[in-house]
Amino acid sequence: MAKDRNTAKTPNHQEASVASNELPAPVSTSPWSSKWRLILSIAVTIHMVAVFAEPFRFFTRSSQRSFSPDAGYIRSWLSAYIDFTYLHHGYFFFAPNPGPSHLISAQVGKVTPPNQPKEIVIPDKTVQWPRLYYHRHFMLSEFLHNSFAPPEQPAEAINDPVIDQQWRRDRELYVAVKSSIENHFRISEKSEAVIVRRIEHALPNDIQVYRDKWKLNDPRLYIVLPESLAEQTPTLINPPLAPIGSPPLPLRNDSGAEVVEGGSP
Amino acid sequence: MKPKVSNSAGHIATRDTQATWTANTLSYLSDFSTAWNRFWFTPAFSHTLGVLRIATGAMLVYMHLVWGSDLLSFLGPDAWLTGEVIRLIHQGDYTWSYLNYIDSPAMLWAHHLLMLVVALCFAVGLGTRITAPLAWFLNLMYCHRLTGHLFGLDQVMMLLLMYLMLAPCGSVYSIDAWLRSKRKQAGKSPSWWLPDATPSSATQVATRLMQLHLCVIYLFGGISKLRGEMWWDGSALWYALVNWEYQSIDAVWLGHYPTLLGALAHITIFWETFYCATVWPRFSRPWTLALAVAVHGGIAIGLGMITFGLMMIVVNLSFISPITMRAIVAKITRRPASE
Repeated sequence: MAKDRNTAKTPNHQEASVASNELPAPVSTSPWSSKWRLILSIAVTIHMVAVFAEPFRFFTRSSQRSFSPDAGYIRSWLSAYIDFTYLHHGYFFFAPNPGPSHLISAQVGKVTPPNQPKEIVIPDKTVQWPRLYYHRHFMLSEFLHNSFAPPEQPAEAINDPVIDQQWRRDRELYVAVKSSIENHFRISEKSEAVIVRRIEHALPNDIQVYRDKWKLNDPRLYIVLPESLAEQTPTLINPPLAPIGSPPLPLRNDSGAEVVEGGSP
Repeated sequence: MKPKVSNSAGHIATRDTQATWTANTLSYLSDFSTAWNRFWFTPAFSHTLGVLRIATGAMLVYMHLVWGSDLLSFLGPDAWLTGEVIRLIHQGDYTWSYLNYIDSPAMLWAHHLLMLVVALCFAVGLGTRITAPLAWFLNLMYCHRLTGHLFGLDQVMMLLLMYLMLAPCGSVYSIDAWLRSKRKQAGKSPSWWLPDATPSSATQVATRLMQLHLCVIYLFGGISKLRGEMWWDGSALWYALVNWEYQSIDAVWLGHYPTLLGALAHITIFWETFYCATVWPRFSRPWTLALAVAVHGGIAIGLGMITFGLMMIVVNLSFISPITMRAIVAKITRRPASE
């Protein structure tokens, strides 16, 4: 039986028979020595475990605990390799459900009259081209949203130093990411003050689209997300992406203090 | 309860059982070893990987032209996310890039020019022994630096670059191949720098890694959708279609056909989850790959991710045998397959 299997046609044999008049027939056995094949077998096995480890760990997350200890153990064992070779992905495409989009809205402008602040939205199909360039900005706005951590310490963190440490780290990252984006606006727009807001663009259902005739960018689908738990529910913005000339929001200077129009920056 | 047998008869029976078990185990291990070696190390031609190299290289050039269209906003001292912020994000992990430490616009432009030259050489197959690993490494450094701007395209590009550099992907459809034939015509000895087009175990290893990695991606892509209600009630595609930020073609009218949208959602989830099983048998492979082209083609055209959709189709081509690929290329280029 084993002999039959060994002498069975391999895919390459079949391929060779098709093209035998054009190419040299491939051999069915590797020219590599058995020692070399053993080393490579171990290497490809470890590599495939690394490929599997990150999405597996990502998938084991639940609301009860961070993730499975088994998945965490495998991931940590190979973390240097996984991180450096860019294998740390969960492969959750449009999963578990397609969700709303998240945008960045920035009010930029001079703080001295008669200048009016203007609103810039990221991403923006009308100005960002080609599509890949637009998508790089879209990912940035999603990244800012995903980085969000509220300024208030979570109740669980009071008695749990691990949660407390995690919250502090998340908050530090969010502030750093947001500040970097604000700074980029400040430089690129030559703006004295910048306000960055996170906007959520909800997805309409079929009743809203067909019966109520909402457009996909209907103003009622956009909400400003709160920056802290103290702020109540998300607020609807109307018009969605305040155009130039709309009542400006208070501007802040570099230190974060509110700037009164006409006052010194 | 052991049956009562005489000592000698029982001893012989036990010995026979052990011998049979040992023989079966050895036979299994031998079969396993043969199958393993055949799967991983059977030498293969590089024509499929040659086509993948051209597509990957061309996309790499395009990607970096796009980065270059606003380079300092992505990498400069006042970038959207500065090198300092990226270092903070990756504090404690092994995602490192020297680009996190470069602020000089001149240096960044010089580096970017190098990246473009390497990507172009890789695409046309010039010096692939060097440009293939260099393209992987340079793009890896960009990926580590550009956290916050990346998506599925970057994941699939790194996958392709990582495995293509393991194989002699420049041995066909390349300037290297042309130089090799010129050298041969001149009667010169073969050079390591110009990879030979003969079947290679390295090509087989690279192809298998690519195929298995793709199976892992689809497996987790599929089972992650199993957690969502919308993929079960059939509304997931509606919510993908009405996402204004993704939309590139207005296909909202499809919502008038909920049965069709539901069917497409169900097909997607089953196809993606079972891809890792259905792509291997010869009979189900064409259907599985045809669905891959349909799904990723739909994403490319309808959801505005042309680059991502295209490269997912490209990586699916790794399941096309080199001989078939060679015949297809010959037909398209109208040149003899032996060239």
